[in-house]
Amino acid sequence: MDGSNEKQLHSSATTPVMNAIKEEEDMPPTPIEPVTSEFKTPYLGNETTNMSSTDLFQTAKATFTNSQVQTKFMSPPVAGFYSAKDGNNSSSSLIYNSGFTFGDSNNNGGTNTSSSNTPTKTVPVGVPTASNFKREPRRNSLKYVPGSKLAPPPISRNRSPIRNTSPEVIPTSKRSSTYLESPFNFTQGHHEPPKTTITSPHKSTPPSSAGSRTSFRKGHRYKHSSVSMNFFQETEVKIPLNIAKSLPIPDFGDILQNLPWPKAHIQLVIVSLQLLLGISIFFIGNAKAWSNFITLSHFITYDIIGSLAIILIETLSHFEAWFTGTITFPFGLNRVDVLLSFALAVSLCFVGLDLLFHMLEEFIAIFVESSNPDHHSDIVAQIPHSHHDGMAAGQLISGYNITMWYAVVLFSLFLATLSLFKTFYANTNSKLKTKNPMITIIYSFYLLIFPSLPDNLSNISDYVASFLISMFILVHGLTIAEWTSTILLLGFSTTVLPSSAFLLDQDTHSQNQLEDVNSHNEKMNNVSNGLNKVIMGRKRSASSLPVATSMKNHHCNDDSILNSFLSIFKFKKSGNRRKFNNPSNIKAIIKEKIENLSEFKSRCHLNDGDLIIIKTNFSLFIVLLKIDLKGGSNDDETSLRFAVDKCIKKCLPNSETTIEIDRI
Amino acid sequence: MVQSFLARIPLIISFPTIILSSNLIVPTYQDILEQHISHNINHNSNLHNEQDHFLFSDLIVRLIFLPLFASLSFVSIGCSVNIIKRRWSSVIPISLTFMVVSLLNFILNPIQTTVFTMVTVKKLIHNENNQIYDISMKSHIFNFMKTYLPLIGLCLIINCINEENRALSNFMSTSEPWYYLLLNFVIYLVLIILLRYTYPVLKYKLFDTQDDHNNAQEDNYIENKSTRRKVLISLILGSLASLATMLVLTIFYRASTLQLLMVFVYIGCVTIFFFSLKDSLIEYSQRMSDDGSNDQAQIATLQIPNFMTLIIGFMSISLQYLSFNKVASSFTKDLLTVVFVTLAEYISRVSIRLSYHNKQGYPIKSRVTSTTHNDHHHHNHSSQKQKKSIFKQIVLNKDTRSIFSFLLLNTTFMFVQLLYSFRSKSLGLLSDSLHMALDCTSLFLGLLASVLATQEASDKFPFHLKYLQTLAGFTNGILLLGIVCGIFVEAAGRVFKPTAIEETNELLVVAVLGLLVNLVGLVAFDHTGDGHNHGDNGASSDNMRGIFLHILADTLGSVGVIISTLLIKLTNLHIFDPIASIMIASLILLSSLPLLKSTTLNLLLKLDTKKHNSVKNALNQITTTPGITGYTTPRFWPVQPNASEHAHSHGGSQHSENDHDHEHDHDHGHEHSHNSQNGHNHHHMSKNLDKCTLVGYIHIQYAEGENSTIIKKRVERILENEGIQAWVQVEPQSSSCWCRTTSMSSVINPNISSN
Repeated sequence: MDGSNEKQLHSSATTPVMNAIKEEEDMPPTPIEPVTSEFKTPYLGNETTNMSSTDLFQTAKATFTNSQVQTKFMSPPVAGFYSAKDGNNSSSSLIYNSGFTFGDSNNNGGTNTSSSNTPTKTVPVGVPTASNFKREPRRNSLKYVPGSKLAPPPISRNRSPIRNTSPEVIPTSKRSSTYLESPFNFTQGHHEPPKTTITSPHKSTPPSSAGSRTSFRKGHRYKHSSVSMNFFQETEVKIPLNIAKSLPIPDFGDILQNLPWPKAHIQLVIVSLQLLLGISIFFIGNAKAWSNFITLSHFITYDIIGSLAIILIETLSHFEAWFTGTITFPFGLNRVDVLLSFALAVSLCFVGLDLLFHMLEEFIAIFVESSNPDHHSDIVAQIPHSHHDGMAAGQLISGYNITMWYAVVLFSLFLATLSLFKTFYANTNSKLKTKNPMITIIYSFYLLIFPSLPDNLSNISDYVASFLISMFILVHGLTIAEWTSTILLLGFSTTVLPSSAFLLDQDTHSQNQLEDVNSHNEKMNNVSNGLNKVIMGRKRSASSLPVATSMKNHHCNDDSILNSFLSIFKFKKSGNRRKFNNPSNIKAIIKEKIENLSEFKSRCHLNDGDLIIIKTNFSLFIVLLKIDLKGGSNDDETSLRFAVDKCIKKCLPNSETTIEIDRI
Repeated sequence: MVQSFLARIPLIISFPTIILSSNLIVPTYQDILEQHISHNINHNSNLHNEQDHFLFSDLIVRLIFLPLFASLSFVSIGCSVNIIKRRWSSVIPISLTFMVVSLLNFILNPIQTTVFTMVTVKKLIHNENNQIYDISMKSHIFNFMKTYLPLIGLCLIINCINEENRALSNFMSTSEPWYYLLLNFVIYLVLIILLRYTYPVLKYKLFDTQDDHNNAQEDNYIENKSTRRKVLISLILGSLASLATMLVLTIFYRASTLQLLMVFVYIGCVTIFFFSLKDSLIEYSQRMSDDGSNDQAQIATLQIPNFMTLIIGFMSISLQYLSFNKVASSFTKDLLTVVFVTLAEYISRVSIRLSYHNKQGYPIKSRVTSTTHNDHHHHNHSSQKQKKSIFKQIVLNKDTRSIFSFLLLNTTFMFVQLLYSFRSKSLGLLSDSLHMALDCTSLFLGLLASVLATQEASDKFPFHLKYLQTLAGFTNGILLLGIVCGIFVEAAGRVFKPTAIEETNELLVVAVLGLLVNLVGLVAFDHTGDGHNHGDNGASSDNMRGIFLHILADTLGSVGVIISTLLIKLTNLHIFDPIASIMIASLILLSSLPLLKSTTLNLLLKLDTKKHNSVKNALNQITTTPGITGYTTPRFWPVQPNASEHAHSHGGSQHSENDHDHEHDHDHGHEHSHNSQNGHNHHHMSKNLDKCTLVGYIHIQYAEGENSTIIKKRVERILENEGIQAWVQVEPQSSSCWCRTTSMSSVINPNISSN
């Protein structure tokens, strides 16, 4: 609601257009030729997205005549595409179709005579349309209900300021079906992101004039336009849903065409450079029998995979299907991000294990050799990626070779660093993702030292280095896998929450409070003095809670990878940290805070099991509560809900709360 | 039946392997001789000069530290797995016995040791408890003689003409055979006397009066806990110390080099041995408690079955053959060894029949109950409770059990292969066995997931771990992809740079063995898959599919190796090797892709058509409900992952329901015990997730003037009818909420939070 949300609203203003959609649009003669070529840029950095919602609103007013320009940032309505996808042509389909208005609903809302009940108004929740005008709570989908059951329409609906600014819409919208001829004007005028219509995947949606005409002919729509007809509505006509059934999943072509302009392309250039480097390193390694190089090329390959995955995710995240919940995918596609990150972490573990086993193999080979030294060379030849040749290579590295060695290693070091910062850290949720180039960087550093190592040391150093690296890979991979799997399993992942946020006002107090929390957990049942004490302690810390800000600052700046590596050596400290971030503790704290609310205190009850916090993707917490309220009116309920919601939002800024209140 | 046999295979394989590997930790004299011969053909004198020094330290290693290490590590592993009680009174006799066994190993060869041990153990288990004290000394000794003398006689005959031992006598510079014979005889006598006295002690410690002790333990268990820890720590320290001493001795006193790999194999085998022993014990005790009436039938399963000695004997012979490329030095001796094993089987039967009294079931029963009691005891008080219960869950769940036995089998086979690769000095086999280790890891992952998935909800995972199995399936799919990539890369390398494959014989042997093992695994899997599992739900079928694909991939791999090796042998064209690998890799790839797809969709919380429709219906009904003006954020996801397309439901819904109930019961019991222990307030969600298919939340806006409670009730009923458990937030139309002020898409969109 407040500043934190403000920014979020804009991203959806420009969703990329998919191939299929464009094809759809090209067919009907559109009143204003939609500049399809411009639609290709889903990239968020354009002007509209950077404006706050009020700004946007004003510009909308001011530059209304200028709407042409703004359409460039929006893609045209694409409803036809979706309906085609669903194969559902009938108006009786369950999905709400936005082009469709009900005469009676217009009239029913006593207050909204002046305003129009435009199709876009009734756009489903998940649709970004509303985002531009977030201040108006005009989102309600259920305009169309059989007459007898009709609820009074929301007052909020009429408040849409956009409508007023659009001269074309106002007159037409009252007679709903007639305005169908100029859907584009309408949308343009309002800066409605064209995708809004996506969520109503039905042919009946009118945005393209040709399409609308056919549906017109069918007579379905016509029927609804009359008020009286609605009273005799057949029962089987289903009411449009407030949520899209499903959204098309972008295919490869869509992704290619919608790569965010400078960023993704730079990243792709880095990737292709790395690819070239990897291949050449592989061949050099083979030609010169430098086994280290072959290992390095493996690491680089892995970097490439990781970068590609990140580019893919970044691009995908601009599509609507990514972040819009539908019935089929309740949280959108963005769990793909978590899933991919998990998959990468698992494969990282695989690589680590593989390396470790190769190490073991060679280690064992030493024993075998010691028992029959004649076979030395035979044995070595049989081991894939044997590091044994490294010793020979150590002597080989000289003169021309040594410059080549250094040049190649330095170049790979450079590329890896570049990709680490340009691709991996540039990414939003980098803390929870594998940072592959780290490995390459570390290994490259080792390779830089390698030629200067004395001969007898270089025998062992390969083993030590690959052992350390594989351990590092394993620890890193497992950490990431653990974090992401918590999210995948619908758990309460507390990893991105800074530990300090909840528990600490000062470091010195931390231990104290931790004990408090622990004791609290133990005495959860008996509400006694101890509990009170805890609550008091909590209150103090709650007052100085800068969670929202600290969470942002905290973001991905701390080097978790090194921490995780070092944490092998300092179990104690990490254990301590883990205690702080223990989901039970955080949950207990949130619960206490809720219980301390003045609205709550007197007559409410919250069971421990009735506060559920889960995380469904990298950024979204879902909080589900069930509170018992003894007595009270609707207003009490509302105020309680507000207070609790606010309290939770303070702790978990990016969360969706659902507060179920049982009045006893 | 198949189950219990399958569970026993790891035992059968691991036991001889333990004996053999403990023998091989220090290289045999035969090996040393060979090495010396190959090394110093020219300077024989050198050898003799070093001999005195060498012999002394070598004997110290062989006679003191190796047995010490073997027995201590054996017992410490047994203790940590909780088969052997952590008390000095039970630890000491067992470790002494095992020391005797490994001393025996020094004198006899592994086959004979194995057989001797088997006969003794069988006698121990099958004889009645108090008999030893009742019967007079004389008849007892007679009994003993009857059992062991024929065996010893045969042993002497074999060993007398044994060149290996003659090599030993050469080393000891006692060239006269009669002296050697006498020495052996004296040793045997000592052994028998030792055995005679340790026998009752052993028996007493193993079987008797456990319950009394345990009862006493209940009272002051804290004290016992510390002693238990002390016992365990000192055992581990002792074994480490003896290992270190051996290392020091070998390095500084030029005793024969220690084979660390064999130490690894030994420890791994002992671990597996105990795990599978525990597995069968738990399963057995479970069956006992299930139907105690039918005692007679049950007892037969834990008794060492009749042909067990024979089977283990032959297993040991084949192991010996694998590792030395021969059983004994000549054909007659091979024959004699076979006769020896058969005789042992016969004798063990006869000696049991001698003491086969009516009460024969009693000791076993008491042992088993004491074990379970101990388990229980441990369950209550130890910090390892969690791990413990996981193991028990694995064993007691029918589906996981056979896979667990297969895992044990696979691991055993891995160790055998490691041993073999070491003996045959083939690195191809070495890398293959390490690859197998990876397989075992992923099998273990799947197994762990299927057990953990039944855990109760916690603060961290409020919705249980229902998706864990799907996640495990996904992980296995990813690992398969990794393996496939590895194979492709290697095969491509071989296409361009063909390498001649040597050791085709060893490769064939191992590939055939691996194929056998994997076939057993497939049978085991089929057994569970058909009967019980597929009907359950999508989650477990995903998981099982992952495991199945792994086993299948291995099987295909062995088949490929066999075919390509044969083709190479026939045609001498080395191109077949990469071709076979590429084909197999693509097969694996093709089979793992659907698995990846279905698990991915499930993890994205996708609703299948049926659930999709029920959500649609519910939403429709909500819209038509009077008083409701709208709803926002209808987000519903499946409680359990959708069943994958390929899962054919054999079990039917009835069965799966039963299963589910069972799981639930288990959970409940667990929680209950937990409660009583800590007084912890446990997580009880007010929503009952068992009866519904979907779970989620929705915000409902109602018109002014309506009663929110009534609206809420209506919505809840609608949702319930569609099988949806939902958190319903009811809000007046005019009030604001995040669900309407912001679009819900923007909340989710991850890009924004970064801006």
